[in-house]
Amino acid sequence: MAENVTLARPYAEAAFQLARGGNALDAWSVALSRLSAVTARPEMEECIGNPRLGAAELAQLCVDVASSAGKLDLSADQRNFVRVLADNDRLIVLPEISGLFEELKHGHEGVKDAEISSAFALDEATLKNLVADLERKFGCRIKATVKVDAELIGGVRIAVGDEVIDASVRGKLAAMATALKN
Amino acid sequence: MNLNPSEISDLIKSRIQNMQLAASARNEGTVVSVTDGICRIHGLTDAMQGEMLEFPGNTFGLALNLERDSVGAVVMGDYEHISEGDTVKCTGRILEVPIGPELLGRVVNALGEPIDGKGPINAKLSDKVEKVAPGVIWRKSVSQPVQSGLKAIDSMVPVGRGQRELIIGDRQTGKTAVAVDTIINQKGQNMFCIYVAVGQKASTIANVVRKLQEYGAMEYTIVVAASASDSAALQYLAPYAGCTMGEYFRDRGMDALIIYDDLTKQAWAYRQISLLLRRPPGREAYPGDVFYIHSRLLERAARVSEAWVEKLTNGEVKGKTGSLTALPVIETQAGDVSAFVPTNVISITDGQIFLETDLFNAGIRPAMNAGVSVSRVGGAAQTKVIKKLGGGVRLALAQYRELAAFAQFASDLDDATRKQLERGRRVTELMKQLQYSPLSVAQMAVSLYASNEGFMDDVDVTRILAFETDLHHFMEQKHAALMEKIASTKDLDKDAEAELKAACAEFKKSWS
Repeated sequence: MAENVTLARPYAEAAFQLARGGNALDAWSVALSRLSAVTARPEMEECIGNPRLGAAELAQLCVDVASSAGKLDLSADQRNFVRVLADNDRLIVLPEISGLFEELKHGHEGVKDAEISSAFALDEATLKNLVADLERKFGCRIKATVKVDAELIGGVRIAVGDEVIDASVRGKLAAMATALKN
Repeated sequence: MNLNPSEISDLIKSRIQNMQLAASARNEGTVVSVTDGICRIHGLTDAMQGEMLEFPGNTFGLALNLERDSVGAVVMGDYEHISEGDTVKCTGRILEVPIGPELLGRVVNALGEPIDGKGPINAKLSDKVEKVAPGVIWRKSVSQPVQSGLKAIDSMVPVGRGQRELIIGDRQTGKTAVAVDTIINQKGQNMFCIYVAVGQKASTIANVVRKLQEYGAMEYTIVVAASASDSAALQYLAPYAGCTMGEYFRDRGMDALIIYDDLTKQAWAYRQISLLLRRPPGREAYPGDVFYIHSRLLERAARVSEAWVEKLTNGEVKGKTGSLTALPVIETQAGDVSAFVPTNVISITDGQIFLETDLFNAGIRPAMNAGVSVSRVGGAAQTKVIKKLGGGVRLALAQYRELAAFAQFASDLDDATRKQLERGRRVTELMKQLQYSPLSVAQMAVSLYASNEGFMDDVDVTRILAFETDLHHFMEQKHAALMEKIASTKDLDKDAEAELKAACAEFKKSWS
């Protein structure tokens, strides 16, 4: 069986091209994240798995729920996109589509997501320095999200995509433990 | 609790001091699924084909499938402690094993870790498991012999240093026996041996090791063992690991002999890994690249030129050629050599020694079928004296086989035919040899000479081997100088031949 990411890729690319063409990247990003949140709800999952609901009804349901909750207005393209997904029985991969869309959007804007975990809350200046360093290293803008994780004991652990810079005390202790066990 | 010699506070202190703890960027991924030693890992965008991956718990894996969103990796060793969600890191390295003379006399696993309980191996060097074979320019033709010590093989299918000679046959036909006898005969021949056991019972491997120890062959031998209970990944890797250990000797102007026992099991292990990695199955459910796993392995057995040795040792060793001779073993099912893996390996190697169940059961041991066993390059490397004397053996046996089939229907035969039959029967008998008793070149020459010159023609067929043994004893006691001469010159000149003839005649008179 193919992985969900693989199934989602062509949809994400299609959506991205549409969004770029219509200069509506942010709107699409918001819409997709909302739609994915909707389809991830257990109630919605049940509806998607229900054979009595036709594709058209299901698409309408998704659109209604998504637009009603946050007063979000979906464009015609976005509605059609949901309709295509429902027709092809791919509504469940919406979360992956949303993720891939974000990646494409960031790639387009020259931004990378960085997840910074720190043992203590970082002050403004340190974070600014850190982000500046990361931007120099990766050669692109960095959008940082900071998380406080006391389990790190000390230091920070930065994940940019698959690239991980582990400068935490926990990581060093773990490295020491494996080295001593050998 | 056991004390560990590495747990000395000074040692621990120095290790902590020397530890590299600088934070560095590393590519990470997450285990998505674990099935029978195969892990599917999400992420690892920078992973390379064949790269070593680091799993938690000091376990390593090999990246074998690079897909768009995930990496398929095979775990080397235990995988029970790996679970979904574990972090996997890239190492940027290819798997390496220790190499060097420190490994001689040891039994190691496919990763080069000792498993004989004799403590750590302090090898100074290590090298990559997968390497590219030397190209045509760096090679030399095969011109020096490997003495197997078996009359049948040395006279009919001579093997040269740097050759790849396949040992093929059904189960229980003495394939391992031929291989082990060859190792035992390498004592004092400037040859290092590597015995790679793949997918065998641990007890069988232990028996081979014990026999090698008994005959003093472990001093110059490395045993690489991946038993049937080891994971498929280790069974698949063991031949490459052994080959890398052998290449150490080859690339330093020495000679080495490597035995892969057996490659059928390695192909099975690779098939298992491939199917679990969901690669499409082909013929006999093997993956498409099953030919390549054997061709790239056997291509590394070679005789390399002085220039290659000089280049690889940075000029330390000059004017010496190196060689790695490979004796791969293939087990056939009910004599079917047209199965996938046997045909592949037959086509890769420079000849084959074909062992048959019928011959084995008829008491002809080694059970070599002289008709279909060939050596495509060894003739140029055969010892002169054996070449001179053994030329008639193959012919006599071929004629004998033809006549024997024909003579079954004939009641009375003419004299010439009967003579040929008698000769053939005797030569067949003479080609028998006990296990663990390889013969020296001189002994072999004496046997072949006696047979060629008709000294055995009136000896009862059942007593041929006894005649041979007594002849060897006689020669060693009464004509030691002559034996010495044959052994050192590896040739039989006019004088020596006359002396040998006289000696045989003398022995014949006294023997009854």
